[in-house]
Amino acid sequence: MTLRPIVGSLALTGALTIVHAGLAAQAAPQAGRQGAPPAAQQPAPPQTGQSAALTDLTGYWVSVVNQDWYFRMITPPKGQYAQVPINAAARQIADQFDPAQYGGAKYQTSGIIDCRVYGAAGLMHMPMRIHITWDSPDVLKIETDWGQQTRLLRFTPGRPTGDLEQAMRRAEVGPTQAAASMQGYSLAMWEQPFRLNANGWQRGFAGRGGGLGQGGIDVSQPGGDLAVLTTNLTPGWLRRNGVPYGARTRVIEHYLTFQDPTGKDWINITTEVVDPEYLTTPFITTADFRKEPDGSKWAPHACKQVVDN
Amino acid sequence: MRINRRPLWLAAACLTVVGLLIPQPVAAQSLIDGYWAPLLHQDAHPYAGGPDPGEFPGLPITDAARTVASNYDENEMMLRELQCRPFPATYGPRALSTLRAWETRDPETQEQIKIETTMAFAAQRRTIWMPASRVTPPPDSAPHTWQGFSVGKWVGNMLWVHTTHLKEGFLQRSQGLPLSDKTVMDERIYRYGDLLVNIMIISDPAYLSQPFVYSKVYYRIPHGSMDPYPCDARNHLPMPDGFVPMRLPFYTAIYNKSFFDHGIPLEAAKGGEQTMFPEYQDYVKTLPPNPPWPQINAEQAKQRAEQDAIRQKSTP
Repeated sequence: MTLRPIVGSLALTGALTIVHAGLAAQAAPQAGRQGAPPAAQQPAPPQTGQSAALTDLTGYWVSVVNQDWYFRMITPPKGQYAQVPINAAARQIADQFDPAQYGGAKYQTSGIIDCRVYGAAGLMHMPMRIHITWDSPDVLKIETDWGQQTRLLRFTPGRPTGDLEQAMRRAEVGPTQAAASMQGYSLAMWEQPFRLNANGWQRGFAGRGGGLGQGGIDVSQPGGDLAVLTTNLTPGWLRRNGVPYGARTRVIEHYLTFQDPTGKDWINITTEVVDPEYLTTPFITTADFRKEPDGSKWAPHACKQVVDN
Repeated sequence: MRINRRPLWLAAACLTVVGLLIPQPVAAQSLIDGYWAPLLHQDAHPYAGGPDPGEFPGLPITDAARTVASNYDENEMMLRELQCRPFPATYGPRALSTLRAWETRDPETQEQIKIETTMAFAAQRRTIWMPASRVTPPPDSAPHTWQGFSVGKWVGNMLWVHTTHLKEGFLQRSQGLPLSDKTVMDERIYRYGDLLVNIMIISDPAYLSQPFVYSKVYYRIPHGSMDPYPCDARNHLPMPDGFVPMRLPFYTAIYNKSFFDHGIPLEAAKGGEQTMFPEYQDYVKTLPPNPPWPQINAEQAKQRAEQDAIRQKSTP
């Protein structure tokens, strides 16, 4: 008789182990989503940024300037820095903006745009078309027609998913030994900051938090975004009228795809610029890009290289 | 009396297994629960004191919208009857006001049945019924309201909201740019850490030639609070009883000095979908410079005088 509770306990433990193992397998990131699961005894090939993609960013996209038109589509007047949390040092630099170099009296609408505003911290807010392709399985490439820039977003081989905020907090990511440049060094990862379609057991164990389950979820779309951290930047501009950012700037971006009610595809890009040199708080903006069927409207425009005296 | 415990253990094990295998809605915190403050790093100009009258670049408006806006007098907002008018759902989230959101779950099933939001300014309170697939929409003849009728669903970890039955409202409040009661709004709401992004897609067959897409960023306030909004209508401007500020149809002069200081070409200021795309940067180069402000101001002063004369004649 004394064996019965022990046998029952073993039965319960065994059942829980089996279920937990099964659910853990379901929760493995993207397993089975990108194709057939690997054969039972063969080690799975390491995931790449391309194979682990949570969403398809590739193609031609056009920025739709419904917001901040006055700051983006034309050059705002010299001295107009509204909305950017700059400090006195930044103001001093921006006040040196010289309209004569950008068309004189017509500098606001001349179309002569300094290349420094096409640096990574200001780039995605500019009106332009972008072309996104996979340069290699772990490198996503973004090209722009206006400003003619190329960005390379690099995934860590074998670790294409993660949590950027957590990785930054743990100092697992940050400036590299790469040389500084206008587009800097961009580290990318797919992330699901809030896995709404995961229940407590799939998240690890109940009560741990992190996942935000909801009823009525369309689980056919897993959700998630592309998070990008860019460092190793040369100084550039946040606005066409010379509002500066410094070399210690880091840029945190999130690329999120969505569909409008007519079925058109869009990308929303949230850009957070952190600059201890010229900003008093992080500067956060968004930009919306609509997908285009092809590159027929691609129109390269060079920017103006200006060398400060 | 001895109790045979074996059936109890086996039953417990079976119930656990069954409970874990059945797909179930998860009781957890909501994506957007809490207090959220708007960030002022973009588009604060149109919503914090601006935009200036006649400044419509980047907006996909139609000629009909321009006509309505050209007859609008911003002093209309000072009418006591209209001072406490709430903001519509299409405008409130774009304005600079703290947002509070909370959810309600069915006590039995723990399924989310609605998400409610309120905004501090003008006491805008919305209900988003969840999930959309289980909500019966109201008939077309149902009353239209400031906040409309909203249903939502989770697509992955993004909240999709669809809003209909909106009362006639405005795309830009201080400019009198209208939205009709045929307006439909779709939203995509997503959260990154302490940032909440609300992408609004506003469609109106009467006054917009393309959807107006607008993304707004809020940041989380961990221990937020919200003051009440006791609207107190009073006379801010001396106006006789029954007077309704408006511009007569011929009255086209609407610009102010601030608008001219921005350097926006007059043609671009008329807006329209063509102004939203990058190629407009090439076109704007070809536009003539604006006339000097004193010249425009003198012309506008003349028009104002003519309008005042007509008003005086027609007022008993």
